[in-house]
Amino acid sequence: MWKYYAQLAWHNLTRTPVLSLLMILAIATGIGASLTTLTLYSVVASNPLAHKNETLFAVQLDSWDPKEEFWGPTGVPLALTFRDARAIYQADVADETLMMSRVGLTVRDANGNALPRVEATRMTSGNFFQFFDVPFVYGNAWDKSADQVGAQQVVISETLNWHFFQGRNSVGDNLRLEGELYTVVGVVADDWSLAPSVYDLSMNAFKKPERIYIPFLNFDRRPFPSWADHNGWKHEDIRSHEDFLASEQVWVQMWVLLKNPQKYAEFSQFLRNYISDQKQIGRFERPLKFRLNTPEEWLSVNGVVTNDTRVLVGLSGAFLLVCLVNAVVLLLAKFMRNMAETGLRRALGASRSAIFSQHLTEAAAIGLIGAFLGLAFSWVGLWGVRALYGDFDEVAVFRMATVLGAALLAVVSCLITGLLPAWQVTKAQASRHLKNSL
Amino acid sequence: MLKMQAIKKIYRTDMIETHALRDFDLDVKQGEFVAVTGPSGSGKSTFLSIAGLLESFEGGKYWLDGQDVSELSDRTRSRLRNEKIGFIFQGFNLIGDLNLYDNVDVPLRYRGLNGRERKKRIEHALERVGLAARRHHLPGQLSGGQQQRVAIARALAGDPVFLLADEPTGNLDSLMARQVMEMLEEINRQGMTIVMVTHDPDLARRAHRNIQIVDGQVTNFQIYDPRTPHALEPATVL
Repeated sequence: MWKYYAQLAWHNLTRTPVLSLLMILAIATGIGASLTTLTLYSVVASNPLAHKNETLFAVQLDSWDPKEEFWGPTGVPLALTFRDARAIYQADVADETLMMSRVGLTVRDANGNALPRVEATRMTSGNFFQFFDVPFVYGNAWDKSADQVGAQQVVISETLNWHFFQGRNSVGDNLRLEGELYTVVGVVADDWSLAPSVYDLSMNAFKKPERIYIPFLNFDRRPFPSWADHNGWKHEDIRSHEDFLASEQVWVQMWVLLKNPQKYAEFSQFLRNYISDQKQIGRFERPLKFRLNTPEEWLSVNGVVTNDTRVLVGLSGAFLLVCLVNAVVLLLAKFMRNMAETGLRRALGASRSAIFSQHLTEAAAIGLIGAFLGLAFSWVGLWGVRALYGDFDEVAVFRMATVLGAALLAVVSCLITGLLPAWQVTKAQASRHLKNSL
Repeated sequence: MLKMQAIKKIYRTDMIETHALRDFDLDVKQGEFVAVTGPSGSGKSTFLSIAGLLESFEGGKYWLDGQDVSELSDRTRSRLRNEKIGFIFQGFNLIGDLNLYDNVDVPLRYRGLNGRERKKRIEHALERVGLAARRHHLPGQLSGGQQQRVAIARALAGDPVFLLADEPTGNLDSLMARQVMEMLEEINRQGMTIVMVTHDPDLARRAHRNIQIVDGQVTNFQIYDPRTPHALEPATVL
């Protein structure tokens, strides 16, 4: 019988094309809008480092103004001073320690023939690639000894490797950064990115990964044009690079690997001791406070999911509901207008369940067509988001979750849209409608 | 064939109760052609709905083709309706955007017959009413009389045990009405039981029996000789 119901559904859809189109558009618009926002939300609210929640921690120290608390949600600066970061790194108490910041460097080939280009660069520790699951195409990260001396070694992206080395294995070749020669030790895959970029949520949580990585302690040798978020709480007379490194400005991000609770406790105690020591030399005048944030907490602390996002998701849900209610009303009107035929079918032998199934099939057909059209609308919506906001390239894309979401929404929408009208039709007394004209 | 005993049907609203049928008795034998008459609001339509298993009733018993159908599930009633009853309506009740073939196909679909069997029955039924050549026409392309013949074909296609006709000539001019009536009489002569509701005393007189309903009760029945339908006066008054 389902084949017959499907034939009837198609027949009824084409019998009133304008009404059918209105219902399909109502469902499609609602699903398209809610799917677009849900897709964005699902990425924004996701934690791509959930599997490292037990072992990876972003470090915060309260070295801020003794008179006024830091303005952020935890009251603790989101970055460290260079001197604190280097001291903690060199103490080597955690299982592994990573410090990093973002700079912008001019890059050109070793011979200086090609035109230079300015590239966002991450100055970091070699364990960055392991911490954040960055896959290598060629070579590897630099080793710890290169970290400690700020060696002139570089890891580049696949794209840059194509640009400078035509895609071949460039490990051992040189690149000129800010006029200095750096040796390529690794090439990372282009398809790596974390959305949100948990490792660095300052300024934009959905920025594309940098194409160049160099050891952080190159800062010890010379200044680099910083592209990081800098914050300070007092006037400091900074006249040299050394003054800058010794200042109270916070701009260095730090992550530590603590493999077990004992290590966590040991590192926490070390930070307490460190802050106490610093207090003795007149720093850290605020009450002793530090935070070790899991990736999940770090996303929350940095407010990646804003209230605006949540409101938007709520509004899109409400919009979907309004669209569905409209579709339900239209469908109910359509079914009721067709009651004479329904009464006739009852007289000719259709049971209530047959009538219910027939109408539910029609509602499901409308819901499914609406869902597919909604998926197309959502695709256009996400394309629009990408076109308007370049940084959302990694966010506004269809994923398996999106398609599954569409399927789920379609099923729920069909049920909501179809059940009530189908039930109403089934309940109606067939004999009362037999005298109506068909 | 169709036996009702002390049937009671009440329609209730918030304000009033309407007794549509009360102590309604009727016994229609196999092969009879019974006309049911009565003024508007007398309960004819209610009788038709109950006889056609479209409505339930509060009290009494109803046997259809020997089976007690008083308390059956909707699914069973629908199956019985499909297998045993053929409906013919005053307004023909053909689905306007289905061709004749598909209109006749409707009850057979709910019977669950395979395509070949349905085709055989549809073609036979349309041939029986002389419209086989027009199977791909839409109802709107036919005259009223032809549409009613399609409705008769639809009723016959399911091979029912009796036909329920509700004012089958009510929407037709006299010539077409006569043709349809002759067709019903012919079908009856072939052994089909027919119960026909009508306002028209001339048509009622052409049936074997005339049952009159007033205020939800059978008040009168007349027996006619079907070969000379106008010859006899009422025989019994209840």
